[in-house]
This record gives sequence, structure tokens and C-alpha cells, in this order.
Amino acid sequence: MSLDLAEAVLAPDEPTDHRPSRKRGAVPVRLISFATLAVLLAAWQVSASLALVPSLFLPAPAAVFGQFVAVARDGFVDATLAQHLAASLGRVFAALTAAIVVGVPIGFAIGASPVGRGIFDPLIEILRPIPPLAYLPLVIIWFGIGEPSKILIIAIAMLAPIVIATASGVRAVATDRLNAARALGATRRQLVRHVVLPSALPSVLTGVRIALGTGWSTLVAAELVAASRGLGFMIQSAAQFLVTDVVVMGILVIAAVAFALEALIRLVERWLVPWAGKA
Amino acid sequence: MAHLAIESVSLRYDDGPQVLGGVSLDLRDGEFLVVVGRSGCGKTSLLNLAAGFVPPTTGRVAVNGVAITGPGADRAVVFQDDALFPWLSTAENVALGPRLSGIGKAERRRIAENQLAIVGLEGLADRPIWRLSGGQRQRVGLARALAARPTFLLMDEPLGALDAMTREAMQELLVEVWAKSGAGVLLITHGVEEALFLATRIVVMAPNPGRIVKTLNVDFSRRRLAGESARSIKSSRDFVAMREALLDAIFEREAA
Ligand SMILES: Nc1ncnc2c1ncn2[C@@H]1O[C@H](COP(=O)(O)OP(=O)(O)OP(=O)(O)O)[C@@H](O)[C@H]1O
Ligand SMILES: [Mg+2]
Repeated sequence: MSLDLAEAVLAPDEPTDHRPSRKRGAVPVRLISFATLAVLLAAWQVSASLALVPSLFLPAPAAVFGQFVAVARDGFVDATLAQHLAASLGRVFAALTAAIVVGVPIGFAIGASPVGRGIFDPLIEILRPIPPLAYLPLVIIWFGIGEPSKILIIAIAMLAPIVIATASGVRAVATDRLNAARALGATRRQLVRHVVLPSALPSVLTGVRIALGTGWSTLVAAELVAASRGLGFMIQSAAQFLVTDVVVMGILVIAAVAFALEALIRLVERWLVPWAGKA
Repeated sequence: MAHLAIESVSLRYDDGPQVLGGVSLDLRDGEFLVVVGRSGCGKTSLLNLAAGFVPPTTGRVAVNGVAITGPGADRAVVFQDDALFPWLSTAENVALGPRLSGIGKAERRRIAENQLAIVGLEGLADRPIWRLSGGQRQRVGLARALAARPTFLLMDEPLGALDAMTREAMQELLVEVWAKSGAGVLLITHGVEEALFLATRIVVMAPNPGRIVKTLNVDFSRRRLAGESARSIKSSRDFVAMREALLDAIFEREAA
């Protein structure tokens, strides 16, 4: 008690900015995760060395890595790994841009006005549970087999998460903050610009993160549509020629890219909304 | 002379019970009006009416004889849980009012630094507000309200979340700021001593429906401004006597 008081007198203003350091006896989660992956890799290597499974079904790690190097250098089905990757990323980001441009205003309408909610809520609820493979044929019939169709398929899958997250962000704007701005003389436009948009931003970014995950996993389906490049297309082709090591390599690359995208969006979050969850 | 008038106002949220019944209250600039009363008796509702956040069910709220239709920059509000904007820096929070009215960047910066100095936060202009302590945030909320140069300053338990020592320092700050700004202040509190120390007039409210049951004129804040120390005021005989009278007023109705 007396100690607290002394501290209060000596430093009445400054909140100490010490982040909690790793507590003694805390579970080292990262270490455990790392060990899990290491064990998995070791088991894979062992089964390959002992030839427990024919390499047509499960190629050795070394073979997969070899293909990684080979495809990166020489390419597979007329394109290098980097070109396949660029094609896939290009589609996913084009789709993301489209989904944001369409989805954020729709989410805004749902969150901010009963009329908007009445119009768009049912549409999104109908669209949301349909798997991409189900609407794929229709998209081809309507838009052909060109690049726009592939982007559209990914964008449709990304739309619902962005709309829903935006709407919930808009709905969750603190009444006190709205009132505070109104009492400072804010007009309706200024309220949107200075309070509603920034309030909803963390939620929109969460939606973008979920959408990127969804979009990336829709990729293989989208690249079934007469693509000539892309990671999904590469895996498809490899599967037809029974080149299992390229299939496995492609799967691992897709997983690694998904992981990197997740890390990227977390960086963007830390940069754009460092205050999220703190105030 | 500016004049905020709450004229025989009653209030009902949707089809709930009557929250306020026939309340009339005047606030003039230069006045420090403090509202006390038990939890749930309608103090915040009264402030929300004065701010224009909710319309009265019957009666009217008027500024200089003209009925208000909503919030306005002439009536600044300090909220109990500060309601600051975490996406803005401390200085940007303080200068939001000037920004909304189209004042330029350099001038806003000057206003913000000036107000921050007044509330004792010089040097914190560029801190993100989520790196401030509770007491600092409360002061930023006050600085933000003052930067709008309001005619009336409405505060809902602005010192509620503070520890005893910070609270006393803030009380002195409020008296100073009030005297300097010349604004008409309406402040809600649960603290009886706080009410006496700050107010020029105290109104006591009672619930079901919320109404004013007693009005007291006091002048301890003027004694503070004349130079008497806070300790000496709070331990003076008339302060203690007033405190008992005020406590009686608050609890009388409860016993009845
Ligand atoms: N938005 C609202 N909708 C419906 N009822 C409300 C609303 N706000 C307040 N009330 C009711 O009105 C009454 C008065 O509430 P108010 O917040 O004005 O009390 P208060 O005196 O400020 O209390 P406290 O001291 O606890 O802050 C309470 O019974 C409360 O339940
Ligand atoms: Mg209240």
C-alpha cells in the first residue's frame, strides 16, 4: 500500500509501457509447433527411405525438393514456378480488389441502413453457402473460359466474408463516439468519414484476411477452367501425368503462400490499425 | 448572456417507464451547475437531453430561447468513458472540433498544444491515445471539449474512473478551467464533496420518475479561486455543514 502510494507520487502520470515478458513456465507454443512439423517431416523421410509406400503415391522429400528446384529453374508445362505463382497471385489479388470494391460498400449499406440490410442481406445469405465448384459451370456459360471467369469465381467466394465483416464493423460503432463527434459539430458526411469508417476498419481488415484465405483455397477450382498458368493448373497437369512429386511440391507451395499472405495481412493490420483491441 | 433552458421536460425511452417527469432547469454561462442523485435517477438522460442526443418526449430544450434540434458545437460533452478516437493522436483528438469546422493544420496544432498545456499534458501531443493512462485520457477528453470553445460544457461523471489523488488534482483543474473559459458548466457526479467543491449551484435528483427535489447555492469554488486551499475549504465548518445538508437531501427521499 505505502509502496503503491510512493509510486503514485513519484510517477503520477506516466503509464509504464512494459509489455509482459515471457512468463516463467509459460508453454513455448512456437517450439511445440516447430517440433510437430519436424516430426512429420522425419516420418515422411523415414517412410520414403524404407520404401514403405510406392513413390507414385508418396514421393520422397528429396524428390519433392528436387522438383522445386527444377520447376523453379526450368519450369513445368511451359512456365516456371515463379510464373505459375505470379499468375495465381495476380488472379487472387485482382479478385480481392474486386471483392473489396463491391463488398465494402454493400457491407456499409447493410450495417448503416435498414433498407440496405433488407436488400442485400438475403442476397449474401443465399450466396454465402454455395461452394465455388457449384457455380463454376454457370460462370463459364455466362462469361466464357477467359481470365475474367477465373477472377470472378474467386471474387464471388471472397465477397461474403468482406460484406459480413464490414457490416458488423459498421454496426459496432460506439454510440458515445458518434455522439462525441456530433457534439463537436460533425455533419453526417463528417461522421461517416471521421468516425464510422475508421471504427469499421479493423473489422474490414479481418474480413479481408478471411477472404484471402477463402480465395486462395478457391484458386485450384478456378484454375480448372482452361488455364495455361497458375499453381492450381500446375497441380492439375502434374496429376494428369502422374508426376506426384510436382503435385506434392505444388501443394506445399500453396500452403506456404497462404501462410505468407496471412503474415502479410497481419503486418498491414499492425500498420493501419495499431489501436485495434486497445481502445 | 447565453442561456440553456430545460423547460418542463419529460422523457420516455420507446415505451418504457417515464425516466424524467417535468424537469425544468436553467444553465447560464459562468455558472457551475452540479447534478447529484442516486444511480438510475436520470442524470445521464438529463445531460443527453441538454446535449441534444435524445429529444424530449414532452417539453423542450432551448438555447437563448430557440429550441434545439440536435447536438451542436456550442454544447461540448465530456463522457464518462472518455469516447476518444483511437485512430487519432492525442493532438488530433483535441483538435477534432476545429478540424470539422475547417480550420487549417498549423492553427489546429497550435490550438491542441495550447489546450494540452492547460490540462497539464504538454509534450504528449503525438502520443497515440491508447498509450495514455486513464487520468490522462480523461484530461484529453476535457481538452477536446474545451478546444471547441463551447458556450456550455456538459460533463457526465468525468472524474468517475480516477483514483482519489488524481481526482483531487482534476477537481482543482476543473475549477480553473471553468473560471478561465467562462463557459456554463453542467457536471454530473456521485461525489458529494466533489459537488460542493466545484459547484455554484447543486441540484439533487430523485428517481421514478427522475425529477429535481432540491436546489442548493454554494460558493466554495469561488473561495478556491480567491486563493484558499482545497484542504482548508473541505475541512471548514460551513463545508461540513453543507455536506450534511446535501446528504440529507439525497437520502431523505429514499427513507420516505
Ligand atoms: N437508452 C435507453 N433506453 C432505455 N432505457 C434507458 C436508456 N438509458 C437509460 N435508460 C433508463 O433510464 C433510467 C435513467 O438512466 P440514466 O442513465 O439517466 O441514470 P443515471 O442517473 O445517469 O444513473 P447512473 O448514476 O448510474 O449513471 C434508468 O432506469 C435506465 O434504465
Ligand atoms: Mg449516468
